[in-house]
Amino acid sequence: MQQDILNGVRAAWKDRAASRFTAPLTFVLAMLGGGVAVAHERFVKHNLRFPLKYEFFGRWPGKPLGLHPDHLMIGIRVVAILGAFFAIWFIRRSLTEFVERTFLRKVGGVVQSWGHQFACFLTDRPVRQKVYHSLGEWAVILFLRSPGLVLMFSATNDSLVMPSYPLDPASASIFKFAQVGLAILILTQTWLPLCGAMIVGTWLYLFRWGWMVAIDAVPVLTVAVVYCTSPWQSHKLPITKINASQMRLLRIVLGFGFLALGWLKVYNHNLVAGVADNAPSVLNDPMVAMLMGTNDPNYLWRREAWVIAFGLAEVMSGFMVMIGVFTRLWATIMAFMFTKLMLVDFGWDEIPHIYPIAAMLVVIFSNQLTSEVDPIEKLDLEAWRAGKPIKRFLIVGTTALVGSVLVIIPLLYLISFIDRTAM
Amino acid sequence: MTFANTKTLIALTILWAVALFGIDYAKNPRGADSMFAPKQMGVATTQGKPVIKLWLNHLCCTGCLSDVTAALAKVSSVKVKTKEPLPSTDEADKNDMEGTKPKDYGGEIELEFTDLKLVDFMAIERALRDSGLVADRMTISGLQHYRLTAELKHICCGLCSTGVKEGLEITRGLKSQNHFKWLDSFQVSKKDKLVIAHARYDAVADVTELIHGLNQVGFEPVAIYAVIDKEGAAGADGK
Repeated sequence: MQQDILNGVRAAWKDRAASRFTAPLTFVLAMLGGGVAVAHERFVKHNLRFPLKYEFFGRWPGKPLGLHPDHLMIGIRVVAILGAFFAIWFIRRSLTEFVERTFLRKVGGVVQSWGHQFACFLTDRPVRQKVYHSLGEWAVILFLRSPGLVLMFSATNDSLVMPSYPLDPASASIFKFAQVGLAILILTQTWLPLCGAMIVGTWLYLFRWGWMVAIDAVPVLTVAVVYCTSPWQSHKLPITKINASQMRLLRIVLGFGFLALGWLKVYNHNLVAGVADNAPSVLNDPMVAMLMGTNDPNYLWRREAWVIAFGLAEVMSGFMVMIGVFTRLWATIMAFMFTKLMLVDFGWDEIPHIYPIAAMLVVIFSNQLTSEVDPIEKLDLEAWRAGKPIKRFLIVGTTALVGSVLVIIPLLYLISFIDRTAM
Repeated sequence: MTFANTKTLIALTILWAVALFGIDYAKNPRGADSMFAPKQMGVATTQGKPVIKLWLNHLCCTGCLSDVTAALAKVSSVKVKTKEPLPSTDEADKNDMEGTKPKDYGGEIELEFTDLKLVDFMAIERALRDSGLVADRMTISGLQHYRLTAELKHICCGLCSTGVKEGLEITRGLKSQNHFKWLDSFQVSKKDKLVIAHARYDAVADVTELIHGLNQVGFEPVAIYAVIDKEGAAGADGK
């Protein structure tokens, strides 16, 4: 009986897949990559141990938005979290002032000082601490040099940029030497603008493996932003700081990279589920479990829901970093997750993730953070000063609701029209 | 202090990307369709079909080839397919006497087969050794996701299993010496007495390296088969 229902749903989904919604989207994707059924080798094993229940990702006629209710619920949870963070972001000044005046001032001393610094950390304001400043300088050094180590690692593994992209034996030697040459320039901090151009050029070359591979590698471009905006005489300079405009570009590229990666995970579900099949410990991540709404091992759609929740968690954190809302907090969560994946779940295979961790550390310890929602915040502040609480409520509420819904729901809805069973 | 302007950066980027595409094309000429095919490696040359090749350090003439063919005739799942004509025994003798041509004793043969699942690489290895010859390389290519499963006769305890695993892990360290470059990871199943070597995506695996690796840690495989992994198909448990 249940199988009949599922078959019916699958048939309906396939019929709808030929609809007017799918055709243009499929066309665009096909134009971008010349084929969507790519599944390049990850540096962690990703073979599915048993098939997914694909109907979960497709169309469910008669259900809200035509999505499986659990699928939609994950989206709604993410929308709710995004909305809450948006709303808190706009009222963060009032909140921190309230906390500092009401509680910290009464306590005073070291607690007040540390409480203030912690509030500054959470709300992306400069943290005036010597240790924090030193850690920031060290993070910049690590970030600028870590790509050199990753390139060397890839060269010794017959790969390009990451072990995910194995080199063709016919041209492997030249590419490996080229990578080592670039790595030497990076490690000696020589001609950084050239290094930046070479990284972007190499990223363009990755399109040879298909559009999904290029999207997978977008975070690599983050460091290119800093290289390209560095002086030609970089080898003579101790670069330990990233200025505000560099940081803004870095944050946008880094955030966008993870936002795109998140959607790619939702789209290319087999790859992500395959990783989980080979490293089942990743299924127990508390943040992802929260988005799933359950961590019951007997839950019928556990792997399918995990894929969507995992992908949307990355979309959410990438988006927040991209627009600069609680950047430090999200970067800290991401750095923690990457470190956990590297040290606990995947081990040595995940060692190239030193690079994104370094990028996150630069963002976390930066005192040059800005936000893309500053103009809206300015309107909100004006309304606050003018004593117009309703206007303020409308500005904050509309931005939080519309912003968070637009980031998640439309793409979640559109992707469900694409038949990905054959991927 | 001078900074790079946008035009310079764009020019350098395009130049570098073109150089990478150019090198790729020069080393592996093919059409744009094939070059931008997402599953590019191995597929362009083999159309996705598995190819088994043997390189023998000694395969100098038709006499050697007929011995190899006769030896492999005992392995029912494969048949020898030569790519280039070899000199006859008389011609080889003459060349040796004249000493004018540079000596090139080695040669490559390709094996035809109908079902990869039935090809036992150990049977090929044994047949060749019985005929007095030996393959230096025994490669399998043209597959994306696959693994080599080596059946062992002897794994009697946990220590045996750990010994195989640890011994083979050491061989992974030989990558820098051009060994096991195709290898992604090893698994040892004590219960099924299997060593499973997962090949890297699209890699050309050398089965003789696996055989030598196992010999080095003290084991002789009974049989070695290549198993194709498909996304969404049975997992990497060697079954």
